[in-house]
Amino acid sequence: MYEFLAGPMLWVTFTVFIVGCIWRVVRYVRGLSWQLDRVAYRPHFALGAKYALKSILFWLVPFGSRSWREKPGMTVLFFAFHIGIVFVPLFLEAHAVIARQRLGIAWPSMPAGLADGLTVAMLVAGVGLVIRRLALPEVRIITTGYDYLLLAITMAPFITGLICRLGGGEGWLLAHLITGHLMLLAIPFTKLSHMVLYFCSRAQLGMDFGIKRGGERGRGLVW
Amino acid sequence: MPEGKYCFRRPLQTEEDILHLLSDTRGTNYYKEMEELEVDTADLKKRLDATCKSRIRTWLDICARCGLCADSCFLYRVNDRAPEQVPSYKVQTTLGEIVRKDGNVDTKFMLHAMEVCWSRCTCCSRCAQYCPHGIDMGQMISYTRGLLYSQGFVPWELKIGSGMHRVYRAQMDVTEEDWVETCEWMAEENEEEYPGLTIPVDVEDADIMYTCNAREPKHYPEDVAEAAILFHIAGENWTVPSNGWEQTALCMFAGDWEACKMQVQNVYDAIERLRPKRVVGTECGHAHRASVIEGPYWCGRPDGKPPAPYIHYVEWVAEALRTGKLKIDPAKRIKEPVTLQDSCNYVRNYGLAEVTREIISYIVEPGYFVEMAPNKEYNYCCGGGGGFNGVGRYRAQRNKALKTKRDQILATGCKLVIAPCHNCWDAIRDLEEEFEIGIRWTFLKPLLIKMVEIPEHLRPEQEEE
Amino acid sequence: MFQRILFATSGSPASDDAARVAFDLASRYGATLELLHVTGVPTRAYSQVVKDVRTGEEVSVDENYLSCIGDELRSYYEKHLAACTAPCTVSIVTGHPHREILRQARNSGTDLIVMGASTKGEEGKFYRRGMAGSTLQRVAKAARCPVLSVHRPHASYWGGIGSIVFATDFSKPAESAFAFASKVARELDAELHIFHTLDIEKGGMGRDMDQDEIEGRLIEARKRMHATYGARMPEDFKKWQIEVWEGTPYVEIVKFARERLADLIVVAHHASDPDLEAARIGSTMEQVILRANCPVVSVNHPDKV
Repeated sequence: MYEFLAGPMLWVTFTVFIVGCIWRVVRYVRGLSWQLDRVAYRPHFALGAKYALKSILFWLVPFGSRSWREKPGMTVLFFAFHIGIVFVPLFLEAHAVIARQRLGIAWPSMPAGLADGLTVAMLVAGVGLVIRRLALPEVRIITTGYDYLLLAITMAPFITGLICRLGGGEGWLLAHLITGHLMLLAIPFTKLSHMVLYFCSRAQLGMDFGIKRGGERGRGLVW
Repeated sequence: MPEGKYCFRRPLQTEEDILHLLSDTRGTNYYKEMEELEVDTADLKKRLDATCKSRIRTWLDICARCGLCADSCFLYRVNDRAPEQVPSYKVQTTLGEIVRKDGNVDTKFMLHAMEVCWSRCTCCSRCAQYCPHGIDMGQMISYTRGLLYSQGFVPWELKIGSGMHRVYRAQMDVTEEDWVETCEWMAEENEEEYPGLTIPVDVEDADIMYTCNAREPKHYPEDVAEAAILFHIAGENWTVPSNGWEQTALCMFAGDWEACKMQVQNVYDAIERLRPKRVVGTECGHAHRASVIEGPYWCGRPDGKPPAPYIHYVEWVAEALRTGKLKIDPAKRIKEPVTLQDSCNYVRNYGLAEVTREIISYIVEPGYFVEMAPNKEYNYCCGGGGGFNGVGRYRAQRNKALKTKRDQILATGCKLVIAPCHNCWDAIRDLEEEFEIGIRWTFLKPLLIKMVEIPEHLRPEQEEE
Repeated sequence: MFQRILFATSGSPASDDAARVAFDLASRYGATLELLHVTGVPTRAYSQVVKDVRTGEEVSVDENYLSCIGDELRSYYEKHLAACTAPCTVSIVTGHPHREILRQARNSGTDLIVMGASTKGEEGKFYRRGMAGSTLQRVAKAARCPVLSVHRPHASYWGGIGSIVFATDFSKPAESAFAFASKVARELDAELHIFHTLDIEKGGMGRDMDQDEIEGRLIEARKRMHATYGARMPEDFKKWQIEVWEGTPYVEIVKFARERLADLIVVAHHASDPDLEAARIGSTMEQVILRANCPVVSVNHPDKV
């Protein structure tokens, strides 16, 4: 089982994940319509691209947008969660080892202590996000079971991974592998696709405001 | 009952249609019949397939349900933070449902969606600035309005309003004759005070073509006169078209995209006919949105621009002050605390925040201008945007919404509010009527006329004293 | 003398005095009389809803509503209409009152507008705010024809015009007012009292004038009036005289009119009032209207005199 999940299945999962993500982006871009969206994407592409990049970049920086600044608590939770979720799996030493052994790729890694810290922070933030969903009426009303399921899917590999790290044994390692695969496979097919669609959607809005709603007037805003 | 005598899916196409619906005072029967109006689900599905593409579907799909939009919405805040007023909730329970059910929704649902789309959102798009995913909920509600309109679920006044545009190419029954006559009348009424004043109609190749809001010729033609006087003083070579002078689009509030195209195309035709160097629109926010920002797309202009540069009145005023075409008498500048209402349609959604402030720097004595908080692109809607002002059915909700602006104005301590937008002007007028906080409000034109210096050669002959 | 009279009425007791004059004038001079009632002021943005000027309530305008109001107005003026020998019509419109009165006067080629001077609380603040000046002030400013208003009840017992006071300030509108006053005086063979007030407050430019100066100016004004107006009086018309008093214009005009048993006061409206809102309370014209014992006609333009 372990051999399969850490071997052939890796190829399958990565292929599905990567192809799926590309497919989501392609489908998104192909579905844009200058007339329906009412944005002249092509004739003003340079202007649009500038604000698209600006929009993506500033929202990726903690407190980079007005929204982040107005809700510092949420911003901390959000970034702790997302930094952990992106950087720990990518640069965990153990993962780099597997990449080298199984896939033959030389991969950089981060110090173990940092990875542990980020994981714990991510899990704490995840719990914080759950509590926030339960506690705030304005979030509770829009939260559905799907949102909790996605939180569970994303947090599961981290919980199992952390237990492995604390010496959880063979069973937990297996659980970690399964939940890890599950998360990667879920990305193209669920709302987790925002991993790539975030960039698309932000770019679109950046272009919208940049091209027709003020970019030309040069107010230097971040949309 | 599939369709009623007053309430039906098709738009109002003729004068008789309009009079017929107008005869149903306040839409009493109209709304009664609407409760029985069946949804043409096949048509709704067809429409979704044709117009609901990846941008909107992705917005609906990836909404993280994080609630960051909640506090950005003035309607959420003013309604005691009712969770039902969270923008994401409003969109997901209306458009979200329609899309998820692929158009298979019933009458009861549509009635609810109508209520949400026209009484819980003014399409100000403030929330779009607060969503980490860049989801513009104002755009989505506006899109939903289009779906609702196509099925006949639209407030009575807006059904009539968009019918007016279809029949008269104006939001009110002002004909070409009425308009030209009004122009003559206004020139006549003011030529004594401003010798040589004319309102030139249909002059080709002028520097400026002026367009306005049908309510001006209909109810307060003073506004047309004031525009004429200011162009006259500034020495502009300007004209108005006999046809295509109406810049507004209630059909945009109604979601009647077909009428929007007809209306704006009419203005563009005038531009192409008269070939002005530029077009200047009146002090109206949604008119600017319709004819300058969205209009090019409705009319299928791939570059997203009108046929000639089309500027908002505030842009012309700022330029005229900057270049000295209009000179303000320093002694007559405003010397009392004064604040400024930023219109969502041309500030947040067009970026003219600094332009209005440039005007302020000329007409207000330094130290007397007080900003609202928040302001500029982040300003709250006046409370009456997106058609909210005129819908009788949602009057109570609208009046409650006005409290936001009331409190913003009170916090500035000003008794004078400059509101260069018809909708904002109306809303602020109504809030004074509703809450009596003792404020005055004004467009820019009357203010400017009071303080502008009239060049020697344009003054009337000196009276004997 | 008058062919088309437009009577702008609130259809309520506030317009009763003006009504008496309007109907009497129409019958006496064989003019057509058009009753105009502006019933509602547009509210709620672009919608069809108006505020009823009398009740202050929001109503939706439709044919039915307008015809109801028309019937009401007809029954309110039932006796007047029955007694009036001139042809009368009734128009009910919605809009901002001053604008609609001006619109109607323009469309009908009206040569005299009769208005109740004050509708007191009835106009309500809901539309006056945000737009400067009273309805009368705005109509008087822009109307092409003379505007007659009646404020005090005993000003309305019109018994034919035997004595006219024309108050001048030598302004340009005063030219038009003079043309009107002299025309009416000649046609009705009435006495014409051309009157000027030396404004002792404004005339001194902030200082007190001494008596010699005042008297000097009075003589000067007399000369000026003879030159300006006397010269233009036709040879065959003798019933005119000139008078100059010193004081506060509106007070002196009203006093003078009382003394000369005036049946009509003709004044000029000041087109150059910089701020209507400020002028609303303080203008000589409005003060005279408020206080006079007879109808007051204000003239601003020469067109329909």
